[in-house]
Amino acid sequence: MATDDFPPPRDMRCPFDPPPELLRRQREAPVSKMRIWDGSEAWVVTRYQDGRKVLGDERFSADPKHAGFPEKNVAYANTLGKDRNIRAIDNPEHDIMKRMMVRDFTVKRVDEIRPYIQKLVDEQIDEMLAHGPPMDIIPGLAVTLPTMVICELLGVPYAEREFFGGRAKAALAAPTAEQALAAGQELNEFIDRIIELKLRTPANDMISRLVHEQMVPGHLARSEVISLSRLMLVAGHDTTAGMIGLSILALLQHPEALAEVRASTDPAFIRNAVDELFRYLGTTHAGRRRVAIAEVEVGGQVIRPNEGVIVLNNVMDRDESVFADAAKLDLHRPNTRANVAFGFGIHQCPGQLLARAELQIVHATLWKRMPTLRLAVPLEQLHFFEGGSNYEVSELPLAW
Amino acid sequence: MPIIVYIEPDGTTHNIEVPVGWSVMEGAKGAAVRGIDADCGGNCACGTCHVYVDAKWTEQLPRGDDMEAAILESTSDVQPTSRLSCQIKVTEQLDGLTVRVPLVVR
Repeated sequence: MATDDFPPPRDMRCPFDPPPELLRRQREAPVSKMRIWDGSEAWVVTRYQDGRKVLGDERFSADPKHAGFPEKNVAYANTLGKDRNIRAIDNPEHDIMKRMMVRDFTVKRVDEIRPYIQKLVDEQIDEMLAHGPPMDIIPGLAVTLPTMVICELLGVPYAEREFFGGRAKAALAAPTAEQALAAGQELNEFIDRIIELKLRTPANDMISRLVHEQMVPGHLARSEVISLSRLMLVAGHDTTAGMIGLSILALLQHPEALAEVRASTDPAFIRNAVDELFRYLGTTHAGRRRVAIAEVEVGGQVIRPNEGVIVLNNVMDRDESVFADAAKLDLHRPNTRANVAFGFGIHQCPGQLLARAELQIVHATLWKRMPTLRLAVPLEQLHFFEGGSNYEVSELPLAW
Repeated sequence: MPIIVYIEPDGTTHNIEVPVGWSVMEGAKGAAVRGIDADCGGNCACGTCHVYVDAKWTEQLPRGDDMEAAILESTSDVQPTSRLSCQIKVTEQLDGLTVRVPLVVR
């Protein structure tokens, strides 16, 4: 692999750090071109201030309809990249559409669902204890928790989780267009059936509200409800599942930090610790994708119309000019909330309150109930996956 | 570039250059203005970017919508000059806009 191929390889001696080549570019060539999966080139932005400038500037579009848009992979290009929803449209349409669904992700709604999240975490831990060591927590706690939570929020039957879980992975990371298209289409049909159900029997969930408050009065087309629901379903469990697995592994590799989390009964400390884990791990490693629609100077480089831009928020969160000793996991870091793990600007993740709540409850509970938790295999035997838009550990066998 | 003035409850004042098009909240984040937490990232979903806009500026801002009003209702110490700073977009005309951060015990 040439050094200008994106993404470059990681140094797996520390699997939590961004690739060394990207950190080098942050030091020496903060805005530079790299070649992506389809052979095209895109500008890669690595410094914190430059990245925020791009993400906050309407001259950089999130819309794949513009020539030169650097889509993440062949799967995205054929599934989510074709959807006209909040992920991939600009203002003014973006804000109008986001308003239609954000009430299901407010702090009030997340606070309503916290007891349910706590119950699920406790049940998953009960299952682990009943199973006995060793146990891979990825299919259990890491995947089950966010899947059940997003099903509850959206109104998707949890019993269908194996169906949509597999299709979601394929829609984001299948190696061929045909496989991604097929999976994406199956997901569309699945959600279409749920829309029919909600038309007949509405419930207290996001899809019911989209159907009855937006689709029925004509504010949204059925296809838009499908694509928005599909996006929330896919984004609402895959990213959080990856973060749960990787954050558990990260704490196991940082025993002093883990001891603090295990002992702490201070919700403010747990909140800061979780925010720091988001900064440190930067699991959405494929970057925020944009295309210039005007000529703009960024970091000393002139970016021209129809040139693709990849804003690497995970590398931005290792910018030493903002985060002192950025490579260190510091659960007391006072400015960790300045991190851009959830993006920046209008496209910032609407589910971040929910994601943080899930991680807070996992880490406030797991280590106290299972204080002797440890890796059941050497770190070197673990496999990591970064084919989609998240970096994650594929399996995490634990003992206690 | 417009300068937005953020005043913390203890009087600490930050004069921050904020690019046109950014929200007042985004100008505060990264500059570590205490009290503007922006838990939801600017999605008008949490109320933790609540500010009091200095009276001489309130009429110059576009009105907030129902969603902002609903979120503000659930925050503490709402005043007639209360706004969610994530919903105020910076323009050249807002150079010098002054906002005060409410005292909130969390």
